[in-house]
Amino acid sequence: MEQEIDGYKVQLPFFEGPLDLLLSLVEESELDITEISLSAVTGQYREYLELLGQLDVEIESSYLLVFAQLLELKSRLLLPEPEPDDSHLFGFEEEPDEDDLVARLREYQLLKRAALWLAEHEGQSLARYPHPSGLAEPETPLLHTSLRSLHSAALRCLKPRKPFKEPIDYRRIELSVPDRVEQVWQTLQQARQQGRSRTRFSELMKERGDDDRPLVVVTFLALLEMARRDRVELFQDGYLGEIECEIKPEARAFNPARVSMN
Amino acid sequence: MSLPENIPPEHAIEAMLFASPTPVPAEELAEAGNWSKREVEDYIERLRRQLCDRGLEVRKVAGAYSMLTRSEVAPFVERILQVQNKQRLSRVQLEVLSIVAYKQPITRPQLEAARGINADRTLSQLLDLDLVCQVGRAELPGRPFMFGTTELFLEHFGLSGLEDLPELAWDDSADELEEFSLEESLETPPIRSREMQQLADDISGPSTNLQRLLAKIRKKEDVEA
Repeated sequence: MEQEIDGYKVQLPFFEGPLDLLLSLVEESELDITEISLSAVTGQYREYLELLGQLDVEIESSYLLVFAQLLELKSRLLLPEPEPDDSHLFGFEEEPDEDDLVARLREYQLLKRAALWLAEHEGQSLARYPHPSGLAEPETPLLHTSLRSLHSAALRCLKPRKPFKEPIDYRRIELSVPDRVEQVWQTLQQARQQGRSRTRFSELMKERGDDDRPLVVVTFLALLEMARRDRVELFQDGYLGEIECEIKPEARAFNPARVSMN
Repeated sequence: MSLPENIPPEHAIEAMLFASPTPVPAEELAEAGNWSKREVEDYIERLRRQLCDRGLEVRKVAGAYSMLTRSEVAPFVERILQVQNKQRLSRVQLEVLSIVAYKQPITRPQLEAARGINADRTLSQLLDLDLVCQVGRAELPGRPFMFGTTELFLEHFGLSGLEDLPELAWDDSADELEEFSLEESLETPPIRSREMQQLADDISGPSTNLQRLLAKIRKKEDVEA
């Protein structure tokens, strides 16, 4: 922190808070942390406060709060000690003060030492290197992507999409999962009769187009349902690949495909 | 898994620690070789002795074992790995971290009290770095979150556990000095006019900055009220 005061440039060290400042004042004057030493540095503390300049009001008030505690402590030290017998009359008690600045500052000093200890250990620990290899997990699925699949994904993205329709049409879905199971089953059977054992998900969506979100969902659920009942087997080539399905050999004879949902 | 007879177990442990990029808990080592935890500790001790005049060492980090290069040879390792600047924590971050480490579980207000100043920003940095995490809520009004240190904290500082932190206490010499100043304080004359005058100055002196500060705080209170 640098400040211009009466034309002089004053170099101010930066403090991490009022306790940090107070501690450094006490340490500078080579005193222990006692009420006496704190009251001795009150003046210097105030001088720093004067130089503090414009800071965030929260920060400034923390400094001010500690200053008020210093003044309180100092004024208490300057007052005559009450006679032991009179203490009850005057309401004085020797109570441990929770806001006791001396205790707080001592603890802060210890914690600062602990921070130094940590800094030292951080340095040592960072100077020890582990063996970097090992079978690291692939960081992104992209690493396993071939140029071709990247190309086709790019083409899919670049394909013009239907513009977003407004207002959004909240239609009821007229198609139930059991109905869709039946339809999908027929499509799969037909495909098999034409000699294609595996059917792609996009083929199942052919007649409606894959912009029909509800149908995509219902079809997906239908496939899961059929797989659960061991009617079909599902395949997927890698992460986010297209789903393909195939009727299981033992389920071929199965007819009708209609399942009851339970 | 069983080893060929001519291979001592510490060789298998050495290989496992070498191959793993992260510290390996003793339980995992024990499971791999059907050893007891006690046996694993013995083998590791043997391995340590064998490595004592080598560039590698076995260390216990966050309760698990790790094979690391020795810090003495760090400059060489860093040259090969082309390490430029190592990210180290700032002074404030270390300060807040040490408060959390010693006083955990600790709430935000307790943290602020220990530092004498708000620590929210530093605390959220430490949370982002995963050195500190939430460890529940305090049974206090508003049920504030409590914070503690993470495993990564131990790893980052190369500590085996929180018990590795040195005790937060005064050494004996500090105690003696304290007694001494206590006596001194008894000898302090009760009233000194010069001191009194200075105190009066401290409180009411021509302090424009203080006045400005107070005005600012009052204004802030008005706004909030």
